[in-house]
Amino acid sequence: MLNSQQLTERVTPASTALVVVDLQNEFCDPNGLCAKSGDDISAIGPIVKNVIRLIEQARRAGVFIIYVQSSYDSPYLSAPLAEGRYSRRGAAGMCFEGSFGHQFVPGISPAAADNEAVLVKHRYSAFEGTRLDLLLRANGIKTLVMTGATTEMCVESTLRDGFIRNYRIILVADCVAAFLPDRDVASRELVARLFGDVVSLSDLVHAWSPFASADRSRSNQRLHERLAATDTYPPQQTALLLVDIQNDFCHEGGAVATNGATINAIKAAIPRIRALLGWARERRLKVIHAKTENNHLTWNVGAPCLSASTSDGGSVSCISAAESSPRGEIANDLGNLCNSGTWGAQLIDNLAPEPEEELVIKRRHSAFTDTSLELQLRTAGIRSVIIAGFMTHGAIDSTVRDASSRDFRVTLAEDCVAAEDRHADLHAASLKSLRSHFAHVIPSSAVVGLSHSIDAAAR
Amino acid sequence: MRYAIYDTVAGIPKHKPLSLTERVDPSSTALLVIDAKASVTTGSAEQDNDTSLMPTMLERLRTLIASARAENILTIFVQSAHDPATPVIATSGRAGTEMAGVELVPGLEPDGRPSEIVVTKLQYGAFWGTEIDLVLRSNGIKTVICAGTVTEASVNSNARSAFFRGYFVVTAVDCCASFSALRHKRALDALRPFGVFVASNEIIDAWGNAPLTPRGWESEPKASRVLATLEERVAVEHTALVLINLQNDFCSEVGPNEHRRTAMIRQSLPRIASLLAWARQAQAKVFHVRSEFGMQTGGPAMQYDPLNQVCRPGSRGAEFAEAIVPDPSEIIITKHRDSAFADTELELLLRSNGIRTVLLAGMTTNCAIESTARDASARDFYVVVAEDCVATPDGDADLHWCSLRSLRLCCALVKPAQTIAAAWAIPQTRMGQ
Repeated sequence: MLNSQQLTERVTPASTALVVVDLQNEFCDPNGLCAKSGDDISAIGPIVKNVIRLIEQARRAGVFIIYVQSSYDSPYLSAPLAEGRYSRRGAAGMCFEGSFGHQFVPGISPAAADNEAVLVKHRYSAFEGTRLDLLLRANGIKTLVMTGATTEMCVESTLRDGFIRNYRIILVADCVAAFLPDRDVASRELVARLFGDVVSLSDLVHAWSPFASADRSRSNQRLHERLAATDTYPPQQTALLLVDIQNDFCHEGGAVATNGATINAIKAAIPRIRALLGWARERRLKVIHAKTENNHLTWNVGAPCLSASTSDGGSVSCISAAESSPRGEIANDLGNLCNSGTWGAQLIDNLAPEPEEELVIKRRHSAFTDTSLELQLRTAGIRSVIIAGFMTHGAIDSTVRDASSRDFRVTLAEDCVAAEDRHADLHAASLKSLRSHFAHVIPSSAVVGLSHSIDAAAR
Repeated sequence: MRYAIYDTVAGIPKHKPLSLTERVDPSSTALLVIDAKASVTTGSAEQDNDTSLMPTMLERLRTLIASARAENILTIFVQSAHDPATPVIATSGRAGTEMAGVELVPGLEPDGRPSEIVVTKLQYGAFWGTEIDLVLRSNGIKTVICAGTVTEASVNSNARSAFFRGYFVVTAVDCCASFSALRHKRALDALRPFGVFVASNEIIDAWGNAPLTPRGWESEPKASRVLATLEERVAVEHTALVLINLQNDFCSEVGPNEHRRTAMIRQSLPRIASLLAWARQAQAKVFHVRSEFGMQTGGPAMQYDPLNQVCRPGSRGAEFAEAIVPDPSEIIITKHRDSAFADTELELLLRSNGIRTVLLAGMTTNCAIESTARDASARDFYVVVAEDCVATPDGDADLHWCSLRSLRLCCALVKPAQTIAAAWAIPQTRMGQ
């Protein structure tokens, strides 16, 4: 159990969001679909009043408030969801956009303010296919205060997903309810045991009362302060990410070179990458090596390969880029690059990870696609990523864009990235696009020079 | 009905119930063996765990795995990372009983056969921060069977996530267990809405009665799933036209483009309007993606900064350009980053409606179009860029052309709108040849 001081720290308004789940007529009103199809909604009404009180207190304290609104129109339904819904309620859809059931219950009235947002969701978890994580990142949120209905379904599904994304979870016992009281109790006990802390409305009202006179415009300044601070991250918030420095891409005997590409620019970049890595190790930055490795279970449309049927047969491609040619011919391209267990898939000599460095195996161009990279960076508190490796217009470009859209500050060491010689123009164009929109593109000498300001920030 | 074309996928109503045989079809089913580790039989030193449910469960699980092996069914062993000091867990401060000790139960570990793979998770849920979804989608999997420990934690989290991602979920109800009968029962109660419960012997019987078909992970079915030609890729039943950023701030001569030459953009707009008209005529699904960069959603990259005054929420600049008016049956998606996939419902929509190909048009080539194309191919969609329906301001024409070349190399077919429309006109009978 949290004592009141611990709770106050954990729900500090600047980094806490109040999440109100599904307090819509469909779930709460006698004329909603749930009540009409036999669910007992009697437990929901009383908690709505509590949630309204909590919202008032959150507003006074300047806490970010997210009103989650379910919408299950048919475009958003998957077959499994539609099947389950149909078998239980005789109707696949509910909470149709614009319907009575879709509306929030009286008293739940989102304000048009920068620190209140309505979040439309199409699954039971508010993280699945929504902008929830983006809203939380953009507003510096670390703790989720969970309220709404029903406890074991949408509230629990959402907080499970929040928990694995490293958000702290606070469940407000008298602000959640379910159709079956024993499910509500079971869910609350489970949350207390595995996922977070269970508190009461009065605990939170008390925790937020010191902030009750907060100037609400403060929250608008937070974003600007955070954005202004992004140029000087200390070493413990900075990581070096090396991408695809493997034999198949960089060695004369690897797949790219033996398919006819000259790779002088790539080979020339390697000593500079080695120097950059040496600097990062000396500065004790977190170092992550991402490498491509595919096998028969990971091949698919987007898996990197050397496709004979693209406009430039010796380049790194994928099935999606393969021009019209027989199916068998295209399928043969799968597995001709960085196959698991081959020499070509190995990192080149002298760039092996040290024991404490992370190795991320990726299956697509971007190092973020279906890997642990984002989880590892966030868990380590990294906010700034320095990127180097190959190919500039391929894996590097994809990885930089992904890092940027996930709100990491990206620095690209421009002389530590390269492409096949015949694609020098694509390398240059890619750097130009990335520089104007996604990354700080500078020579490695300047990256190393940045360490002075990094050190200064650390002091 | 406004959304009638979304009620079915490939002609089948979305809500059509599956028979057990269809549901666990060996060619498109994967077995998830979750945290079947040795420590479940001994419990944890930390708590007085009741391990009495474990031996029977492990015996049933062993039989289920043996049957999956005999049937050549894709099996994913989901295990927790070994490092007890894994920062995720340290951050949460709740290592919990099931994180301790990861040695697998003897006889319940993968044996190196090609139908088996290990996925290592750092958390209860494996659908964020691991490649489990990539493995499922890369092998034609439609149904996920969940088994293992412990019911209320990892089994429950992964069953929920698989269900949300659009997989049919079967909980092998006698192949899961927890450290007390009450916890197990409560966890099953909570899991009931997420798929169906089936006993392992019924699953095994259904597998035994299934016709002998190639499994989705085998190389022949994989090759046969490849869409080889443009015609196959843009077939209307599995193609979505995704229009990006057709808003005043990107398309008109006021706002950010006021002092720029925009001939390429102006010339592309009528072609985009034609492509949209052809797509409607062919009854392809159409998604309109718009940008909004506001106070709530800003990020460190410059273009997400609300002070840039591009596509501010509620502004005239954020409205759709006159040339392109969404039809009520078409879906509107709002994005706050460059790619249309970043923190939006786009992937959920595509997957829920059987879409395999993303056809892209809009603004601007080297930014949102290229980011979205890269993200789409990373998620294993085929990507076709309508090359004369994407543009940049004239000053960035070099970036436009290089971007199209990079896309051609890395992830997309790049074709003029008329070529794509011609592909839509070919008779259905010639598809797939």
